[in-house]
Amino acid sequence: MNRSLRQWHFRLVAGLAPAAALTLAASILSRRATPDNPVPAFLRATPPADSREVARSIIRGDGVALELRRLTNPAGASFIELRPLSESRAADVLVYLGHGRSDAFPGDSRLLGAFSGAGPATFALPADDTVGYAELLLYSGATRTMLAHVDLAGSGKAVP
Amino acid sequence: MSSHFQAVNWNRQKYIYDGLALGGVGLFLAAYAATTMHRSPDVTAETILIRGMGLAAIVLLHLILCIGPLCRLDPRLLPLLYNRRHLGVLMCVLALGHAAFAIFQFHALGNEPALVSLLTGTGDARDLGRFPFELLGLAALLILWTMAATSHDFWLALLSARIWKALHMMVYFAYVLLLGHVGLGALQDDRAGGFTMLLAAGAVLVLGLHLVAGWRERPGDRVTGNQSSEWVDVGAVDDCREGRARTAIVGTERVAVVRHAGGISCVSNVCRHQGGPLGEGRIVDGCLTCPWHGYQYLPESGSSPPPFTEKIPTYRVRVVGDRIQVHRTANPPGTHVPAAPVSGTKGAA
Repeated sequence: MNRSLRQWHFRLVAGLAPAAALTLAASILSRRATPDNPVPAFLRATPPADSREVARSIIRGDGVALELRRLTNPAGASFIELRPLSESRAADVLVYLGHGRSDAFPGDSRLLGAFSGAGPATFALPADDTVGYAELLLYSGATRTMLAHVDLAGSGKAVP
Repeated sequence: MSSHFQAVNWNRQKYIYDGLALGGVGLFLAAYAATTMHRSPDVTAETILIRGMGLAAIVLLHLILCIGPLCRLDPRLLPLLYNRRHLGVLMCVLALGHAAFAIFQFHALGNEPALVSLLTGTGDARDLGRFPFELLGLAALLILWTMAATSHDFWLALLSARIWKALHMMVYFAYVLLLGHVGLGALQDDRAGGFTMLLAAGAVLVLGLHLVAGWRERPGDRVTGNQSSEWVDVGAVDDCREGRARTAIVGTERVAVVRHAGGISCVSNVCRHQGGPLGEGRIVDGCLTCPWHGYQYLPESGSSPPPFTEKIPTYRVRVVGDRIQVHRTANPPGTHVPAAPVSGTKGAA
């Protein structure tokens, strides 16, 4: 029995060796230059099809370069769409609404969601804005640093 | 061997073996935790546990897979093989710990049941860089768990050595799955490349040792002599050392040719325990002793000494000139066959 067993053993390992080499090679070749951690689709808000772009601006910060679009729909709901101009090098980017321009992270800011990957992300703005949020903040949860902040009211090119 | 049932037949060697294994894993985990905390002071205990146990399990799996071929290449390493199953169970426990902490950390704290989240919420199978590597680990873990759960001799006796060994050869599929799990998972963030190099070197070592050991055995499996005649020539008397066994081919199977107490005997090469190679064994206390786990057989009868009851087939042997000839028909297990006397002292140890 052990003659046939060892022969099978040899054939099995000889057959699996290329599979092992292929697996390792594929995993090494599939690496990305930057971390990829896209936000799952179900976490993203999708602006209604009848929404209209009302302003557009560019955000450049520490490791991020984005195009910001502000959208609204006939029902009065507002959205923000962030579209990367290049792949983000910042880790664990969180998008907040704030109301004071400061490099320190304001404690009463409102979290809209996470942003990463190369695809666009859309966030619904709250309808019950009693605080008066005027800024969009991009904050790295990994390094705990403010990456960029944009004055929502004062910047951006209006789209007719 | 044991004359009555015990969950584990503990002896001094097993205590030492298991003590070294547990101590080694404990030291490895402690060293990993200390190094990681020194390099990344903000790291959490959960992260250390997940990564440390996973790393310890994959390192231990490489060690386990190297033991078999190393023992075939150098019999002095056979003590490593003796309690290898305990290493396998220890490795499975580490892998289970790695999986349990990872599932809790990444999948158990959401709205969906943890396993639903694990099976449906990870990666994208169409993109190799985001492949759901967790599923490869889960498949490997199922194989390793099955092997650990059936590692006891109870299952060996119940399933038969042939089926049990076939089941446990699944470890090679688990190994390839784990290469994918680690390569498409943890190594995707190995920017420095150190762990990637280590894993590649480990795979080359494991697969290379198996192929070299198997290749070196091929000449011994070549059919010699006239296998169609009743008596098969299996080599010269002087090729057999006193107190030792050697492997020969009779018909299509290996046999163990034993030189002991001035005579030559021949028995099946297959140990009744796990199918170990008796032809690589030696005489201890007058018995042919399996190199794997020490099961013993009297060379002339193929029977284990009382109170043990294991029996293996025997073969008739004759010495013609300086050549050993073995009858090609095996006797029923336990059949007593007188040893063929050998004159002269050549070959004595």
